[in-house]
Amino acid sequence: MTRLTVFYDARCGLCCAVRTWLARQPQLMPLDCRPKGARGPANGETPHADNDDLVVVADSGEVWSGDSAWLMVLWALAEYRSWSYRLASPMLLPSARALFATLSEYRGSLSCRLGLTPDEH
Amino acid sequence: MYVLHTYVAYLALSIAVTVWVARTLHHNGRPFLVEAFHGEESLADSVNHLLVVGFYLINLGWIVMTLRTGYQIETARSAIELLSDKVGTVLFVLGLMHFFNLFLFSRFRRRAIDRMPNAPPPIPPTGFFTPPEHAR
Repeated sequence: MTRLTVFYDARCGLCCAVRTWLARQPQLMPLDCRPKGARGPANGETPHADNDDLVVVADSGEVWSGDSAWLMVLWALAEYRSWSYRLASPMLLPSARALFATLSEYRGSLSCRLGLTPDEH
Repeated sequence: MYVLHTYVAYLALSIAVTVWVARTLHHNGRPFLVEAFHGEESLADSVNHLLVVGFYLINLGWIVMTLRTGYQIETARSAIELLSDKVGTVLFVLGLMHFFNLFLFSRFRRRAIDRMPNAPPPIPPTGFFTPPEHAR
């Protein structure tokens, strides 16, 4: 595994803001962010394009979707890798999953409230 | 007269133990730090030295600060009791400091391991993706 591709929802302002933030963070594992529905790794299609979750795909073929994908994004970042392990511990994982699920579910209304607009309309 | 003897014995014992613990930390903490700093020995030695200096300052400061006693010492028995009281407290504080230092060492090491390129992902993949034939 040498790279991760993150497929995010380009219609969501919050997701676009997070993508911009990700690009500024020091990365231990290089992250490529692509809007969902764009062409995937190895010129393939976006994996799991049918579901609405965040998807992370490694260049070696592993796929993480939903809350696991959030953890993988944290894991790729130098400053947050220790948090990815902490949140993945059996004690914190259920709360982390609930938090990520809530954030995902309300990302539309959160974007509106925070005044974040997506790149493409 | 006992008071003076007790003070001298207290200082001698406490300082000797502090020096012994600091030397142990300095000697045995080094491999941890070298690993934590990815084999950069000069950096590890420098951090090691700074940690030991901090350790000495805190412990010697504590020893000197707690030297004074209000007890009236009239017998050898009360002198030894007071001495053991004081030295016991110093040993306890040294123990706490020692474990705190170990905690720091292990945290440095843990962070170093986490940052290695081959650190395992925190969570197993939810699936595998094989690009469709036509896309290859």
